[in-house]
Amino acid sequence: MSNYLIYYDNEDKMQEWMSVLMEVVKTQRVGLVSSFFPIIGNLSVIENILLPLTYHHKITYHAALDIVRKDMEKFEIMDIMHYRSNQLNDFQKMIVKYLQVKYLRAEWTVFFSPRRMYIAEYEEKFHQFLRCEDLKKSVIIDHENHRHLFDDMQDYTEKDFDTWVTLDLKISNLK
Amino acid sequence: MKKLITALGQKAIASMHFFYGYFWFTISFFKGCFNPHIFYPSVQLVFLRQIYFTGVQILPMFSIVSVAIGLALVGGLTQFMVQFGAQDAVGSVLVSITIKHLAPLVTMVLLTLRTSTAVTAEISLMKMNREIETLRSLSINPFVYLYIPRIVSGIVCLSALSVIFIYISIIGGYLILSFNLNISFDFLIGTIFDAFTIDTLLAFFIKIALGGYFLMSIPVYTALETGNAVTEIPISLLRGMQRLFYAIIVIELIGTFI
Repeated sequence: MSNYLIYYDNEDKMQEWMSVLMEVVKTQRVGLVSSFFPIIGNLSVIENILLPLTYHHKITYHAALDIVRKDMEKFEIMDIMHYRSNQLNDFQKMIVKYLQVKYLRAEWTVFFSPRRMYIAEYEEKFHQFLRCEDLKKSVIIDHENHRHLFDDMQDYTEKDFDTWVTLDLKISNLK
Repeated sequence: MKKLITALGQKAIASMHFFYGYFWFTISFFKGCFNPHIFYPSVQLVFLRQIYFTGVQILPMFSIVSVAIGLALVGGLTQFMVQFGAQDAVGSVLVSITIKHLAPLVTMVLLTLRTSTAVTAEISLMKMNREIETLRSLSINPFVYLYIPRIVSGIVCLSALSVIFIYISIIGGYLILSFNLNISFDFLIGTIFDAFTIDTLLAFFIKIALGGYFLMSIPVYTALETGNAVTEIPISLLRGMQRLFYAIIVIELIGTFI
């Protein structure tokens, strides 16, 4: 398992890293779970989740639905599958975003500033989500001020952004 | 004087900037048409939905407009020409006016009012909310997923609705005024087919193809110029519609010379 924690100390660095990752997604399947990339407003929850699956694979809507059904039941979003993003709470939006990335079948799942995605009351739910999900390769990028929130994350090791991009993503020319 | 020259210069630069950007947008559109993802279910769904919103939902209102124009123009014009003994020229006049000019023009105007405005607002909002960035982050090409299905549906719907307009206006116009006309329906249709030429068909198809492309591509391109403020959406809408009406005038001029 390769799970890393990466911290930035200012907003400029965060923007710079985001730009680097946006360049990376052009050539590699790296899934970004972030409030900077909201779910599509004129699509329902299920359409949002199925979008990467039906765009990248020649698979019918019903066959794709069968694939994602188990996860939707697990995250208790079957009842809201036809809702639009404005009817969801912050945590549900994050789950939909995560499922989009999961079915993109990305090699790396990157939670970029997760604390910006939900209000404080969902903090424990997010930690529970990270503990329950079997993430093989994931990275949490957050502000240094939120370091204490991830102190008890045993599966995650702290790493430098440039090292991760160079060694794990094999990108040598960082902008 | 200096202010006038500055204003003219700014307009010229803005126009050149638009044409340059729109040219590359068109190149990207043609490139995107060869992307294999175009035949995948998610893109097909967007295409079918757009056909429904553009071509199907408009049908009741479109039929009423076609009958009204058919009644006023086809019926009225035919009656007028029959009264003056010019029934032999009815076909060529109807072909020239209805098929060559009116059908593409009326359909384009109605679709501009109903669909192009909606597409401009939709894409502007998506741009403002960073939803287009979301698509990119999921390795989804916005051209393939968002723009091409809308542009192609514009061409398909403009063609289909123009043909429907021709049928409804000619048949509706004739049927409503048939009690007053001294010519048979067979004669009317016969003269129309006699007046039908390859040039007419060519002019019709060129106008449909160009009109359908402009109908969706100009709103999409204009929407992509929108900034991050909500107040920019109405400005984009206004600018998009202005550009589209200029495009309609250009198409009409092209049609006149064919």
